[in-house]
Amino acid sequence: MEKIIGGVKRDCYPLTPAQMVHMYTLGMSPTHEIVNIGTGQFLQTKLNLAALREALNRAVERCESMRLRIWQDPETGELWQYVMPYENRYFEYYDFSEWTEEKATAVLEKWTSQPFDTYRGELSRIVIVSMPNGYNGYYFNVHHVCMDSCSVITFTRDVMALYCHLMYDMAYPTPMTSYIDSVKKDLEYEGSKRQARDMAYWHDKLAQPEPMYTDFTGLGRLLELRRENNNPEQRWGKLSTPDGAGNTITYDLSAESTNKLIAFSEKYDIPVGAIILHAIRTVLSKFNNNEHDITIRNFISRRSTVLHKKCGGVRMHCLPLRTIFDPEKTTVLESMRIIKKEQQEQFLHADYSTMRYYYEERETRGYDPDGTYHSVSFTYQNASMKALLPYLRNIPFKSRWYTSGKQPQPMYITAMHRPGDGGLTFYFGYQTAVATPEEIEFLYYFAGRVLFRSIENPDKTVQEIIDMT
Amino acid sequence: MFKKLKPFVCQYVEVEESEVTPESRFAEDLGFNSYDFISMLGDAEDEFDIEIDESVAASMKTLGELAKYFEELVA
Repeated sequence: MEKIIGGVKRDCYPLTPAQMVHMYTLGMSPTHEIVNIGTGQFLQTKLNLAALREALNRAVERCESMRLRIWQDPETGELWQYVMPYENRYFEYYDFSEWTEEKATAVLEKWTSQPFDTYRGELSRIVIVSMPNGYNGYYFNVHHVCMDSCSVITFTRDVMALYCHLMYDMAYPTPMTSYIDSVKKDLEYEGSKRQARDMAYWHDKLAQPEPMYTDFTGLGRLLELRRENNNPEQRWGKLSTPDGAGNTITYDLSAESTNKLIAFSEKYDIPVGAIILHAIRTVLSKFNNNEHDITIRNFISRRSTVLHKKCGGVRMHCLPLRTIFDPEKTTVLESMRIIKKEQQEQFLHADYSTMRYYYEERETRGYDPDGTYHSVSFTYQNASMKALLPYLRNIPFKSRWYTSGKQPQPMYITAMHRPGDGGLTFYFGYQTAVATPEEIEFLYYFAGRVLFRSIENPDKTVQEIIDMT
Repeated sequence: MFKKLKPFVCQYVEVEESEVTPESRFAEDLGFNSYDFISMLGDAEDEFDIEIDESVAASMKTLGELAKYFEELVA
């Protein structure tokens, strides 16, 4: 729809359900940096700054969601989005090469904690930086309403591909696809046959008996809530803080261990994400008196077509992944296959709006506004920079994600492949009011032990794995 | 059905249509991951107006096998 914004005609589109999740987070949080995504991409070599500036500009030009603006109609309050035409940007340069890694990282985290004005101006910031130990590259901060982590990887991969084209004779990378085309497709979903099918699927889930909240620190929180509410049968929990003060702890799994995981995945045809979910599920069951009924909130990138893989923007939906089985009667392989089946069904119905689902869940179950059945959210991100490595001719490459000091999720585990050796890095983003660094460390090491005991003993029962761990 | 399925499948992977044959394997040759494949099945239900049994379709390894299964559903 055409709108006049600041005296200029713009083609405007409503926000998609995936974007509305972040607008909801903004509305609920007193601090707007909660929707920032900060990242850094660095090569351990001297960079050609002119070539990097050129690559960054071309990447911004090719990526519509990097030029996205949000506008609120002052008369109706409705939210709209539109894409600004490309204009050449100048990217500042900061030299932290003589600093310590900690001090330089603290600056990039501080930048990530600077909120954007959602309704005014650019919703991203790029700075060229030299970091300690000879790493050079750029820092990138973007508003979550414009991009999700998958999209950030696609954009940063495009920057590097364009840089490799300018510097190392790589072929000119194929163009990004249109973000606006993907928005149009998303908006066609409302009222479609597909939506009716998805709705029937999720309503069927809501018609099943009430799930059980399982906390990653054990039964304590639920028992306390039951006492507070004088309800010994209560099954829903609460786990979030309004200010969202948070932190992220990062753990690197070696490339060798990651390869074992991938080999297992290929041998038994179980997706890596389902194997990790099995480990998280097992830990939640163990910490909650061997509970059979476990719900984890699964983030789904919804990028299956080439249009969606390369359009940028935000497409992630997050929906509950609930599995019910007895760890004493279920083998590791059976557990993983149950999770895989559930995950595949979820993939099939993942276009259903996250906000609509959780609104309906609250209406159906009747829990408090901040009630929940999951304590852990999870995403496995398999996009990587691997294709560029031959062009980088063994130049060490590193990606870092920077915290804004706020976390919208109480506990959000992201598993992502490193650009250099392909090993998995686990990011544990958590709200500091609901977990301590020691609890996170215990969770990571326990889940890691379950993971590797499981793939070494796929025919043992889940209970036997717990007993071995 | 294979002729109809080929351009449809090429929406999901960056592969030239001319390179796709009935023997093309979804994962190994075309680069499908499990999410791509399942989403493609969901979209195919609307595209070809069929009702797919995902557990049957999930065992299909090649484009030719899937085309044959879809033919049976359309018939």
